Formats: sequence, C-alpha cells, structure tokens
Amino acid sequence: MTRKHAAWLASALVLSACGGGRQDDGSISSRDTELGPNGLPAARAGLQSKAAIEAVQCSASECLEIGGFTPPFEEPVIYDRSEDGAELGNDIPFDNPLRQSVRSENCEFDDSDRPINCKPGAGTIALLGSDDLLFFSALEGTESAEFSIVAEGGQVLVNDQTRVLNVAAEEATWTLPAPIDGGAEDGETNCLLPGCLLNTDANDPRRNSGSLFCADINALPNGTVLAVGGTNYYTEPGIDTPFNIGVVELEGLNASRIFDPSSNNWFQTGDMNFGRWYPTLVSLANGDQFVASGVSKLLKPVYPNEPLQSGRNVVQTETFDLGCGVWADNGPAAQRSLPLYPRLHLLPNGQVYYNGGGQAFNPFGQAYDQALWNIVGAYDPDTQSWTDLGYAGLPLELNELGLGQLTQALNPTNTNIADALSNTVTGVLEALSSEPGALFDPLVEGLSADAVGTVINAIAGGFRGSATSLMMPLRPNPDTGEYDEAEFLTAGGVLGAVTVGSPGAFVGVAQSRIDTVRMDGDQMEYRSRLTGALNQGRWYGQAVLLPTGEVMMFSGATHDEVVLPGTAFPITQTELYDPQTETWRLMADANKPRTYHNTAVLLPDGRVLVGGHAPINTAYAYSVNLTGLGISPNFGRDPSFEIYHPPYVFADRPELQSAPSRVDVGQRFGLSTPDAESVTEVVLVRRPTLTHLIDGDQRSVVLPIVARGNGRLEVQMPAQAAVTPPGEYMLFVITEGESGRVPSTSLPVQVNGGDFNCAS
Amino acid sequence: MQRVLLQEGQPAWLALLLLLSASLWSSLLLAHGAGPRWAARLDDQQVLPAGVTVQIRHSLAPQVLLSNESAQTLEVLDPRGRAFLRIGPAGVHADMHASAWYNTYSVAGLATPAAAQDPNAPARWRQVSADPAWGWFDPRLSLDNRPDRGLRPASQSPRWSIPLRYAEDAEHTLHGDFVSTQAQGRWQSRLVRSGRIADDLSLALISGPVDAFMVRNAGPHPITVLGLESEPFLQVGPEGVYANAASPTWRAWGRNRFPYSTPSSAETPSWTKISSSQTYTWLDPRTRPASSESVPGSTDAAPHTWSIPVRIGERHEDLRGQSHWQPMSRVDSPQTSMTMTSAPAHAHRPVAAAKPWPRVQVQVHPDAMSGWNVHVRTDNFRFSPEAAGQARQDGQGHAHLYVDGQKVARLYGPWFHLPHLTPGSHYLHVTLNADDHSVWTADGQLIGHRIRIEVPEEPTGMRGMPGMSRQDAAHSPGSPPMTHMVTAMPPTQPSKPMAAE
Repeated sequence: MTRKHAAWLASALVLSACGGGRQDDGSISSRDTELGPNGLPAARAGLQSKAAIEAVQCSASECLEIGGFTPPFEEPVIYDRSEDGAELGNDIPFDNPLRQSVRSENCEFDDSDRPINCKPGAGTIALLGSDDLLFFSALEGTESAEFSIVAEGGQVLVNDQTRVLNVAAEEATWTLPAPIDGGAEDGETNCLLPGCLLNTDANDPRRNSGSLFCADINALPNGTVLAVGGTNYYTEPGIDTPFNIGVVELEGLNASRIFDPSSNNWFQTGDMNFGRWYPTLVSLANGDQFVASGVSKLLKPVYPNEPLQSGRNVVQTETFDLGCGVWADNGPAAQRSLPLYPRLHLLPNGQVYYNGGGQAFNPFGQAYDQALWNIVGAYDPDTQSWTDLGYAGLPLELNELGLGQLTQALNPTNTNIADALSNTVTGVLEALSSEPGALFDPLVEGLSADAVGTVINAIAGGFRGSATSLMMPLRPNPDTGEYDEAEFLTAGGVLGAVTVGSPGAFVGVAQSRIDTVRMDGDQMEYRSRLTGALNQGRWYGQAVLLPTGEVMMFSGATHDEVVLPGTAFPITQTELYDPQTETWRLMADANKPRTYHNTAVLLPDGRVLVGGHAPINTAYAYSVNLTGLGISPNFGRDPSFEIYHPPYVFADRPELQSAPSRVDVGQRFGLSTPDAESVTEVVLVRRPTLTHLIDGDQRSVVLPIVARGNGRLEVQMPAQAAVTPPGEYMLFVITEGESGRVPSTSLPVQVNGGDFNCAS
Repeated sequence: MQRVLLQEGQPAWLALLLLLSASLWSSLLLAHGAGPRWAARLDDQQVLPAGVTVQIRHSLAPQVLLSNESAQTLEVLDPRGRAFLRIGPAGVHADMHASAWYNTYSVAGLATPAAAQDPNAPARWRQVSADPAWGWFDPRLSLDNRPDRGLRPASQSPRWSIPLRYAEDAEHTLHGDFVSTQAQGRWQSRLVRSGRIADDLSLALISGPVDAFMVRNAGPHPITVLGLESEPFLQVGPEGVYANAASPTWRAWGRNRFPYSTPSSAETPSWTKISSSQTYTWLDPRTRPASSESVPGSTDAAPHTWSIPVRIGERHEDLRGQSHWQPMSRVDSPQTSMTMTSAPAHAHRPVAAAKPWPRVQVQVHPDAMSGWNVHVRTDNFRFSPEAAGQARQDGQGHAHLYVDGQKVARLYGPWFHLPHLTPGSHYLHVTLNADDHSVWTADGQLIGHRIRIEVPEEPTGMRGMPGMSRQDAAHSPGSPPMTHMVTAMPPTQPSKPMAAE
C-alpha cells in the first residue's frame, strides 16, 4: 500500500468515525457503538475494515491427505497511532548509514524511511464466545531502531495495538476496540472494575510504559478476557533522571486489564502484587485465576560469586478473586521458581501442574535457581502449597519409540543403559550424578564430551525451553467414570543445557514426549515416555490440539530466534501427531514464515487460524531484510493470517444440530445429530487464549455417551469441577470412518460457574 | 574488540554478518554464563570539575555514565587524544567522523562508516542529546580488548584510564582498575557416593548456576538437612516437607521466603509445612567454593570437596561430593552455528579430503525388538557433532544416511536406529560429510558406501505390537548383531576409497 493510499483510508476512517462514514465501498464501516460507556475516549472504537478470505489452496488429493491453507489475508488499513498518543518513529538525532530502507506494506514511512505507523500482528490471541477473536500485537516500534534495538528499544518501542477479528465468513473483519492499546496511560488513577483505565506512567513521553505485549490472557467465566502483566519499556542505566541512554530494559507490569466483548472496551481491574513480564495464567476449578512466574525486571543482576544475590523470576503466586477483582498473594508455601511463561495446566484434581517447560529467554533469562525448573510439580489451591512430582522426563517408560531414539544416541549393545534407564525414579540421575563418566563416557564418545548432557538430551528430560505443551484429551476412567489421568505432550523447543548453567540451548530439537500424571485424589504419580520425534527440529512450534485428538504443529524456526535473532531458517511445513501411533508426519506447507510470536488457534468449525510473527531485530540491531538468504524475515511483524484446513474439513462430516447453550458440572444433557448412531466421541473444547506458545486453559474433554438413539445423544458432564472450569467451550461430535476421525463443526456451550459476588 | 570497517554502499547484510561476528555475542553469552573475567572499577578518588558525576555500570557490557551540570563543556577523548563526545550545557554532541563514537555507541560497537575511518578526518559535530549526560560503552573498560591481555603478571593489578578535557584546556582523567571476578567456565558437581542413601530414600544432584538436590523419601524416617550453623534447615518425611523458618540458612537460601516476623534464633526450630509431598528439591550453594576462593585462574583449579550434613531419623550422615572447575571454551558458543546458518546451508558441495582418506562401511543389524540398527564404521574419520556448521577440518565431520535415495538422517555417531523398513529390497547409502556439510571426496569420488538389504515379511507380533513386554524390550539390545540378511552390493556410485575393503 502506498502512503497516499493509506492516508486516504485513514481520512475515510475519520469520516466513518464521525458518523458520516462512507459505507459505499464496503471496505470500511462503523459499528453502532461509536463511543464506549463510562466516557471512555473511544472516538475510533468500532471502526472496521474488511478483507476477502480466498479459498483454500490444495488439490483434491492433497486436501484429503495433508490439508491446505488459504492464501494469507491481512487488515487493509494502517491506523494513525498518534491519535492514541503513541509516537512511532525514531527521535534519535542521527542516521545509521548502513540501515537498509526496508519499506514494507505493513507500515507507513516518513521521508527518511522510518516507519510511523504499522499494522498489528497477532502475538496474543483469544477466541471469544461470539466466535470473534481478540488479538494484540507484539514489539510494535521495533522497526524504528536506527542502530540497535538493545540500545534504543527503550525509546522506539510503543504500546501495542489490539483488534477484534472475525473470520467466520468469506470476508475477514477487523474492529477497533477502545482503547486501541488496552488503555495504557490514558487514564488518571487506579481503581477497580469497571470504568478506569490503566495509568502506569502518565509522564512517559514515549507512551510505551503500559504495553499489553508480554501479558498473558485467559477467558473469565462470563466471557470477558483477562490480561495480566505487560511491558514497561525504559532505558537503563541512567543517572538520576531518565536520560535515555544505556540498554533497553523491560519491566513487568503489575496491571491487569479486562476486555469486555459486549462493550468492545478494555477496562482496568485490580493490580497484581508483583510486576510480571511473561507470566502464565490458569483458571482454577471455580473460575478464579491463578498466576505464576513472570519477571519484574528482565535484565537481572548476576553475581557469579554471590549467586543467591542474583536475580530470579517472581516466585510468588497470586490468585484473582473474580467477584472482588483483587489479587491475593498465595503465601510463602505457594512460592516456586519457574521459568518465564511456565507451562502450567489445571489437573482434573484441581491442582495446577507445571510441565517442566517455559520460555528459554537466552541470553537474558538467567535465574540463579533455574536448576529447580527441571522439577515437575503441582500446586494445590486448597493447601496453597506445591508438590514436587519428579525430574521432568523421568522415570522414563521405555516404550518402543523411546528405546528406538535411545539407540540412535547410544550404543545399543550395552544393556546397562536400558537397565539404568528403566530403574527407579532417579535411576538415570542417580547413575549420572554419582558416576557420570564410568557408565556413559565410553558410550557417547564421538557424540559429545558432555556425557551427562548427552544422555539427558537423548531422553529429552529436564527443562524444555520454548516448546509447545499441550494437555491431551481428558478421558474418564472407563471403570470408575473418574477423570484420574492427564497426559501432556511436549514437542520441539530447545533442550535445557543442564550442565552449563544456561536455561536453554540454541538448536531446535525434534524430541517429543508424553508426560502422564495419574491421580488418586491429591495423590499423584508422574511418569514419562518418548513418542516418535518430529520430522525436523523446531523452535517455537505452535501445537494445536484438534477435536479428533490429533495435534497439528505450525510455524517456528530451526534455531532459537531469541538467542540470535534473524539467523534461523523459518519452518513453514506443518506436522501432525497421531495419538494412535504416537508419531509425527509431515502435512501441508503454510504460506508465510512465522517465527517468534507466532500463534495458531482452533476455530469453532475445526479449522485453524494461523498468524503472528513479530521477531526481534536481526542480531538485536536494526531492521534488515535477509529473506534472500532464506532466513527468517526479521524486519518487522507480519499482520497476516491464514486458515489451515485439516483433511477432515474435506471429508464427510457429522452434523451437530443442537445442544444446550449452558450446562452445569455433573449434568447429563442431550444433543441432536443425524449421525447419532455413528458418533464415536463427544468432545468439549475450551476456547483458546494463547500467547507465546502457552494457553494455561487449553483443554479438550471427552464426555461419555450415556444414551443414544433417534437422532439424539445423551452425554455426561464430569462431576469434577476442575475437568471443565466454568467458561465458554465448543462442543464437537466425532465420527470415525475411512478418512479417519472426523469432527462436526461445533456449537457454543457455556459451563456454568464462577462467583462474581464479592464476599469480602 | 573486533572493529568492523565498512565502505558505505556495501550491502547491509554484509554489515550485519560482520556485526554478528563482533564481540557482541560473547558479551551477551557472558551475561548468562560465568560473567566477565575482569570487571572495571572506578577509583574512589577522582579529580573532577564541580557538577560532573561519573558512574560505571555493568549490564551487557561496562558503560561509563557521565553527567555534566556545570556551565562548561567537557570533552571525552579517544586513546589518540581526539575528542569524540562533548557533554555540557548544550547537551551532548558527538563527532560523526570519530571512529570512537561508533565504537562506543552500543555494546559491541557499530560498523564505522568510511568517512570516520580516517583518524585525521575533520570533526563533524552533531547534537545527539539535549540532556547534559551520556553513557557510552568504552572498550577501555574491557580488559579482554587490550593487547597486553595474558602477558601481565597475575600479581599486577591492571588499570584503565579515559582522558577528559574540561572547559577547552583543563585535562582530567577518569581512572580505575579491574577486579577479578570469575573465569569463564562452570563448576560441575557430583555426589561421591551413590544417590540411594537408605531404603526408600534417594537423592539426585541437579546442575545449575546453584546446584540443587532432589530428595525422595518414601521411608518411615524423615531426612533432615542441616544448615550452615548445623541447625536443622529442611525436613522431608512421611508427613511432608517442613522448613525451619528460624534457620538463618533457610532465610538465606530458602525456596520459599517467609514473612519477617520469624525470630532469628537458630536454636529453636520453627517448623513450617511447605508441602505434603515426600519429594522436595532444594538449592544448596555448598557444592561451590565460598566466594573468596572461587576464582579459578587456570584450567587446573583444585577440586572442591564438600559435605552436607543430614540426619536420617536420628542417624547422622554426610552427603559428600566433589566439584570440578570446567573451563568453557568459546567454541561452545552459538556464534559458530550462526556462521553456518548465514551461508546457503543446503548444498552438499564435494570437497577433496586429505590423506589418509576417510573410509566408511555400513552394516545393518536387525534390532531384536524392532527395526534396524545401522552401524557406520569409519577409518581416518571422527564424528564431530560439536563442530557441525563450522569451517571444515580434515578427518572429521558427520555422515548422511539415505534410504532408497531419500535422506533420512544426519549421523553424528556410528549407530543409528531405523524404526521401520517395508518388506522387500532397500538401498542404504551413507556419505561422509565435512563440518560445513560439503561431502568428502577421495580421488574425485564421493566417499560413501551403499548396500542393499532384503527385509523379510514381518513375523506376526514383531513390530509395534502393544502386547510386547518391557522386559523383552530392555534386554533386546544386548542380542548379538546378526548380519546374515545383509547383502553388500557394489556401490552404484563409485566409492573407490572403500576398495580396500
């Protein structure tokens, strides 16, 4: 888009906002609600733009075999950020003669090729109950760095934009919420629900101290979306006053905000007790919100000789009371050192499970206590304390796939290894930590001098960085009807560099494993097994659990794009995990490279919306286009989306005609489908709320069919509240035929619950 | 510091690759590793004009912060005495024709434009800040950049200085020394005795910047870990995990920080339940030497012997172990891999191997449990996974395995497991490749070996059958290799180097 064109669109938008909008071209229109309630500065709220979603691109046989993607589509408009106070562009008063002119259609540029306004990309995304999607951008302003994003980030980065997107029809629609940036710095004072706006630093001249970027999001039981944390950019060190010299620093916000889809507005709610950048949210069984980890100050001090004085992530956990809108510190026994964006999931027994993974934020993400990140554990909200379950990946159940992978790394003629690995809980660790050399050195010669690391890596145990972590479908025990087992898939990412004191290595790995937690009330047993590996190593692959129980892996790169941004090769080919064979196979190729801050979410019709990509500047420097070398495009974010159509979309699909819109825990309910006789499974899927590979609420629950006939099925909701925390879900029915497992499109179902009364 | 000199007009990606190879990355890597070997420190006594404040901060690299609120301008001089910064009432001006401006602007410096490469180029001052303060990453604060690095006697404390000029004629100097912090490397710890220290009680050491111990105690007697003053510190037993909130050790190291109200007496334990579990992992810095002695100056630092007192029931035990200092070489850093990825990486260019020529032979053994174990036997060749992607070196590299013409794996060791081959005839082909992924040749021929194998129809229940027991699986790798089903074929591509076989 030329600048002129963008300016024309912008003026059209202004007209539209004033009520005299030109609707005739069909590309821009205004929603009915032009102003939000409570006198919010919502002048542009409700502005819309549209773009066509073209048909999926695959031949008939490809469609059925590997699925296909639509061509990419993106918001056609570039909005003027100065209207919400953001000052894009670069006021660094000198030019870098080497900086390329990387003009793209995603931004408007000034005369010296500096971007002024850019389109947002979906670095964080949530599927709302209305089937709209809420998303917000990542690293806006990064294109403006003149020399180095490390030196200038505190000045050039700005508060990120949010959008509401609809892709249900053949046209995608983007709608501006109010305020466009989630309300950073426009308000006056802190107060509680609703009607007040975030004000982290009203004096911040750059308008970049309240960004939603790096918050985590969750849907609340009433369909609103909670976003906690975020980023305050500044520069340090400085002398006494902020002179904007030094190194960009990212401070975690303690703010929490709520987006209300019914009013299209962002509100502020109670502050957390601790600032958090890269935290993880999990809905508890009663709908209250649990938050853990994050960091208050990214560049933590490191004192090699005084490690305990060094920095670490926020160890305190907090719980958000839905009714009162306040956060409470869960107390000392609820503390735990966790990586950034820890992989947390709610277990059927109501405890919060840590799956031994998180964001490996090299080179900055060090913490003196990161040895503890290797330990999987569970938090009990009732006792407000943690249970250590074991070392991630151990004990390893030596299935065929696991043994196969081991024999690739180790001499298969030595039976001691198999014995050691099939030993008790600390079998491997015991052997390694007591006599690492004696047992393993001769075997790994030629592989690496690092015996301990090699074996741990071969079994893919311990902390896994920047890997996807999915809770596989929860199924009731056929004997008891209890949901007493949960399985978690960890695939790709980078291995923890166990012996070098670094939270993660550099090369994306292919290893894939399933961790199992078996529950008997509050008693838990943890085990692990290797699955077939990915067909290629992949950092930041985004996995999506399909209604069928299969898993699709999207996007990512060959190497860690945080360690050395702009040097990895993007991976566009997708893979599918088959839970029957526990192996991965290659699927269709996506159109666009999407590395850091990519997203992929299941849509209500069973397709998958793939978007995002907001990379760090190449080598933490400035925007450079190296795509000619096949390298990840790190000269700006990608505002586009594409929709993946799994093969089942092209199959003969069952039809779900009706289901209750609201159900209770433990309730039996009926649904009508002409395929009642052939339906093999009924699945309730939580609507995704995703950022940075983590959706703490991701879940898919298989509901037992208790009666069947006459075009109707009766199914049983779990009696355990933690299996289906209150909130909005999608209900699918599945049939199984020649083309494998095929889901219907879904109907929206809300699980009742959530106490919005303030008791205290 | 590595200087990056460029002509304007050169492609920017070239500048970038040079930038990447600059020392930025070692600085960044140090940030999470062992820290710089030497840290610059400002002397306490500095003779400076009134209104001038100086600090040194260490973030990704040492940085001088200077503010000048006096009425006169202060100039910062490069090692040749040329001013490159003017700080004063008019804000900060920088000389765009001074290479020092580029070298000090960011952590690793910036590429210097041609116009600034001539040390005698006329100054071109431009305002870079309206505030009378600036922070610059001065290479003189980094001892690693100095030519006398490594030559200096260890007893002699190294010093640094940065000349200043105030009010056009008054000479001043910022000065200081370097304090030794820690060599680049890591302590690797191990328990001397086995981790199973009693029935139903096991212990594992987990490496980290601070090591941790994971204890699992399924037995009837609690294990009590004692702290620095031999006070009870932590207890893991049938009732769960308890921390002694009165223990000074717990207050210093504890995973969970308790409110301050706890009395500080170590004599009366104040047990607080922190978990219902019988498994707990605690951080314990005692596997490292105390800070005063933890500065290994060489690769042969003495091992640190440690013991951690515990009580199991009423019985006293010591968890004993040793920690060894392991220097980390720069080769481990990912910057080498980056070189690989910035080059077109996927062409397997043939390159001539040096004599003695590497040789390779492939054998395939059916795995008693499932699939096939491929054994790649080499002569005059070493698998070098640690060097993958780097410039090639003679006599080492990795192998590529092709099945029926399809590449299935890159091999970094002699064994590879093929989980499945369909019944019938298959060709396996292995090539030897250099670290830079080019393929080795000898006398103009690719070095490789190609064999045909016949896979019989699978007996029922052999592959992937869920009924197979784990015991069978665990012992199957010990079966003697069988080669009778393998038929070596003359390679279709000549593999002359293998002719000796």
